[in-house]
Amino acid sequence: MAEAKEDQIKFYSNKICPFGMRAWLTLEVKKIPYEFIHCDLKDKQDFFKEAYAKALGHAEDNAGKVPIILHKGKYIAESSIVARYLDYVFSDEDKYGPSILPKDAFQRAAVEIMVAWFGDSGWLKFHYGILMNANPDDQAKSVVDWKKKWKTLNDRLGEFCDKGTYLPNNQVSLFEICAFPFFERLCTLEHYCKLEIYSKWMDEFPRVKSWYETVKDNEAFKKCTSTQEFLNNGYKGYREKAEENYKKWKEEQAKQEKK
Amino acid sequence: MAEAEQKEQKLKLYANPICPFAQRAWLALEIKKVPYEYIKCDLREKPAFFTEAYQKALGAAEGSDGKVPVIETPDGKFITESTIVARYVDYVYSDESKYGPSLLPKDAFERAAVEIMIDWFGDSGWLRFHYGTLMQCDKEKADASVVDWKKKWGLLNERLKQFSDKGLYLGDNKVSLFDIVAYPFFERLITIQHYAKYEILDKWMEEFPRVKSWYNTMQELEAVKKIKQKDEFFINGYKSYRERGEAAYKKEQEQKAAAAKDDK
Repeated sequence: MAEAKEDQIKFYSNKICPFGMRAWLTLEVKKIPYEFIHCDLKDKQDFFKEAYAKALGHAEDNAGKVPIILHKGKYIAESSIVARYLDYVFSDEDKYGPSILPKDAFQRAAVEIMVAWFGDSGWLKFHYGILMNANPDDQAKSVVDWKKKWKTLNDRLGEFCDKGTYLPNNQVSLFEICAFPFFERLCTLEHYCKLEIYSKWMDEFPRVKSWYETVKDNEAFKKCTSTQEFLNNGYKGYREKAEENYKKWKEEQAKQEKK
Repeated sequence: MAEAEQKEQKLKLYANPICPFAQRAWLALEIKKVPYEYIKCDLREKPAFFTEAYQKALGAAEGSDGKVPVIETPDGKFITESTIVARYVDYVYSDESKYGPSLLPKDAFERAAVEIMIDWFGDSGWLRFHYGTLMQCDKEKADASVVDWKKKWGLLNERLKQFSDKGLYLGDNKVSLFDIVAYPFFERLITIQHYAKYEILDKWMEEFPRVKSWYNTMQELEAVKKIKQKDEFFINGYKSYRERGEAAYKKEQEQKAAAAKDDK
């Protein structure tokens, strides 16, 4: 049936990418039929670069980023926008379940606030910043500052309930979809930066811990997870570069001190 | 009280006409003809009623004593953060026969495009360039920054062509959430023109004709005209920003001079 074919989503992504995971989670949470097309992020295939060049929202200065979706002949990029688009198009609640943006106007605003806060808080800069900087003094400072954001998150997650997802009744929202992929990748910080996040930090921030454990256990989320080995291996290059830079920096410092 | 009656009760907008963020919420209310009461809040000496409203507001930044806009809904809820307030207003006042079309289009692709533009505008660093250029009194640094800002103007010029070669982003006068989010900063370009002496409104607009068309179309909207402030008001209102820039520049110069002395 021509209609059904056009309706199917072609999903261009790579399992390593947390932004790709946002779109993947949306597809799984809403049980939307899709075809996962693996894209090599180091050696970008032509079909990938062509899809990206055509995609609404593509960055002018980039050859290809995941996720991209193809739907009804149109390509769309940018993880949060893809998630919103899928949620909006596949809105039949009987088929696809509840929207990831709640019907209640105040709850809806609260989810939008959390999504915006997570973006503006600098969370990603702390996450990648710590992973990509092997200087232990820098790391210690960043950790102090990042934990302030963990505290804010811990407080904000308490808006509606004291455990589980942000919204009551374990309702998955756009906030879970946007934030969770980065929590899955905390294993890389544990592994390379020797930070005891899943144990110690989570105990310091019990509302975050409850949120993380609940979301991790969600059926749809479990379909999109990767092993810690896969993730750690995937980010090895980032850490190797960080150590190389730190080594060079130490050598420069030593030279300066000799003068 | 019945929900319909509650909605007809006025929403309260805590704002100040100087603030571009507050203007986003103000524009949303005016464009959708939502009944509201404007409560002007002094941003330098914040009145207690404002601080209290802010502390109660969904989205309030921890450690801030008050930012505009804040809305107080007819059912007694406080919400802050300009874009979220605009989204909330658009979502609640959704009866098109009363409040006109939504600020987020029905067509899924157009809707995604508007969301893309909103995110792009935020992530592009536009506001950093805007305030940075306003406050940067080191001419060399300002000129260098302007070169980078104009690259963003170029990107905006191209992206605005997605649906139409003139008018608002969606074409003609179809107002979207992007137009509301971006426009207040364009209304304040006069301050950068005045203090930093860049001919933005004439020369830059000529260089970026799609941006010019978008800007001119916005200026003609009834809602925009109704709440527009005068150039003198903005120039006066942002004087203190420029003065802060001048103080920073003076300090830099003094530090350079002292360092030069030490080197001798």
